Amino acid sequence: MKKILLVIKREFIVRVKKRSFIIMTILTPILFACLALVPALISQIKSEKEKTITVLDETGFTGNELKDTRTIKFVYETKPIDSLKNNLLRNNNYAVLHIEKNDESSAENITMYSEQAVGVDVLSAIKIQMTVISAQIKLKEYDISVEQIAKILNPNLNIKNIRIDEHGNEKESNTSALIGLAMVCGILIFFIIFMFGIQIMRGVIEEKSSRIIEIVISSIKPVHLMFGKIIGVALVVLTQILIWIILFVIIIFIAQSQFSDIVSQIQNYIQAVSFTKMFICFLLYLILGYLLYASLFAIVGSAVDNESDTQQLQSIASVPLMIGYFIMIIISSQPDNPLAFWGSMIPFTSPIVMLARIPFGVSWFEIILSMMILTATFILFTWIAARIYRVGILMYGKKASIKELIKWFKYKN
Amino acid sequence: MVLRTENIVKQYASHLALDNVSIEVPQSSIYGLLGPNGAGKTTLIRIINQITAPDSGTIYFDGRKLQENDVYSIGYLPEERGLYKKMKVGEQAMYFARLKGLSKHDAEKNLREWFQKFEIQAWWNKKVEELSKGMAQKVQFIITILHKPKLLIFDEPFSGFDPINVNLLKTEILNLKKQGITIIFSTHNMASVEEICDYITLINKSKNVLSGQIDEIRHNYGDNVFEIDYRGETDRLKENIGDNYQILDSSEQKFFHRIKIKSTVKETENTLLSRIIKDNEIVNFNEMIPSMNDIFIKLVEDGK
Repeated sequence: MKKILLVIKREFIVRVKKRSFIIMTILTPILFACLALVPALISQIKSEKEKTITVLDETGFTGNELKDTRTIKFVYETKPIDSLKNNLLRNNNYAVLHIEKNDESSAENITMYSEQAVGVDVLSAIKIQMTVISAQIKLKEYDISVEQIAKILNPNLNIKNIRIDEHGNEKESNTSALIGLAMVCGILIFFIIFMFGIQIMRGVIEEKSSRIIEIVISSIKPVHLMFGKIIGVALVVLTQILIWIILFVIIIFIAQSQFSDIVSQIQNYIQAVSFTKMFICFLLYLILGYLLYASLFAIVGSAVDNESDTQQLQSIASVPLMIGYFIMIIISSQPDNPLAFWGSMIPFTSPIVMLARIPFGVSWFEIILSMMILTATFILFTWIAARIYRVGILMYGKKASIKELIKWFKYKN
Repeated sequence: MVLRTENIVKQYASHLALDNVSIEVPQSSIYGLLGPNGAGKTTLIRIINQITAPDSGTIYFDGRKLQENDVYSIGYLPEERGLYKKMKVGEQAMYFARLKGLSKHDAEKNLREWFQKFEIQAWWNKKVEELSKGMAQKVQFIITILHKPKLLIFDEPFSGFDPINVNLLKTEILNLKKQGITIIFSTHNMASVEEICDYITLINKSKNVLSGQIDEIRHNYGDNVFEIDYRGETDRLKENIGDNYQILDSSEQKFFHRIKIKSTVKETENTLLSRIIKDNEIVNFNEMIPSMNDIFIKLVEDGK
């Protein structure tokens, strides 16, 4: 026991002292803040260059009324279409829009000539403008103004979602906030398990490839070394989260004076999502999920000599985690999908999937059942990992296959 | 006996690594564990270190069965050895010392002493990655012996050391022996075996093929070949030694003749000398004792 403590202490101190740990601890909250902003930013960037589109309107249907947008410039021409087509490349124009004369008065025969395929954004911009023009022409016939139509089509309705709990209390729920928080928790669990699982794997490989292992296990049992490593890294995880919470509280505290309305909004969110339940589940699933995956990554580490050989085996450990992540994304929009139930029971995906379900309301029974399955699985896998690990760390030279791992598992002490 | 193994058997899947290997390592001796690559030396060493367990057979340490706590009384320097690259030398040495059961205080005290002895105090706060290979091996040596074990096991200790450090290490190993510590020494370097080992065991193809005191073994493997430098007539000498000796080689040196003969009968060296001395003057008389290297190669080749 004393020796396990020594290992735990070493694993913890070495990692916490690393520059990368300090940077990660500070950068991750910033990264998450950025993640929230990125979609907004991306929608603003879109297209970079102004595109010139030559318009030949034989019908007069658009009536020279196609308006330039931020990225598209329309130039009306009356030359014959063939010469416009020939000039397309020479004038460095993006496309030629040809509205052909038809027997009927409507302009249905519309063609675009271009060098490259025309982007969806350009097409839809033109389409919208033409639809509006077409609608205006029609509306004029019926003598209705555009504003009236807009009012009819967009009545500005607002749907409130009020959730009722078992005591009959009503609570206003902000679905987007719920999903948001659940996603953040799920993504956090995904990244933490993945990152620190890889760290365990790297630690095992380091000891193996630099041949420290033989010195170490002449003083401590391999299994104890593995436990020490897993627990040591777990403490690193908890430290990091503790620091994040403290940082979060400090930020809220500072922000309260500056942006009181945003803070009160956050507080409302927190109240809407049974926050305590979420937090307890987050911590428990994180720890249990980590323990399960840590032993998987320890197996991978013990089975190879250097990191470049890990690819194949590593995917066995990381693919279920990815699947959990995708299920989470799916059920965030379809909470009733059967994937939600099964995903939150199967131990390899449950730490992530259950988190995403909690905001939509899950009974404690299901949560406890899922945690029990997860706990049983992690104990089973730790036992398996310990048996493979003790043999694997002393095997050099070749990359182990699954068959080999099973053979190692069966070795007597 | 500090260490005794009895009929150790270890089977790996389809490969028998150790086949009934028994060795006896006397107190305060340096015991050479020899054998070609893959013979099973490392497996035996790992079993003694309780890194792996034998399928059958018993190990006695200090007169009783080997126990889990005995790892505190054994020091092991593996052939393939490394250190945590990113850790500081002192910090790391402390970690290993404490894993071997030393208290924080004792670990630091012993370490400081040894660092001073090897004149490497300045390395305490250096990271291992800043050390050269030879420097790192000095640190590993200290880590191995720091907890004052009763039994030390060195697996190819000299590989990677420069001659100066090899000497330093040899001196330390002999010092440890003087203090009553028993040392098991696994190596391919036969010259160093002859130089420092008292006993040896040769393991070949998973079996103990030869055990015993090194001088005795060498003598036993001698095939009664003598090299004699003499003055006087060669014909007289040949006549005097008679048919009991087969002449292997005869050559002319600047100031004397040299002859190499092999005895085919049991006859003491004195009788042989008295035969020669009759008509010739002896300059040099030598029994050709085979080197450990010759014995090693002979046994391993015979085993094929």
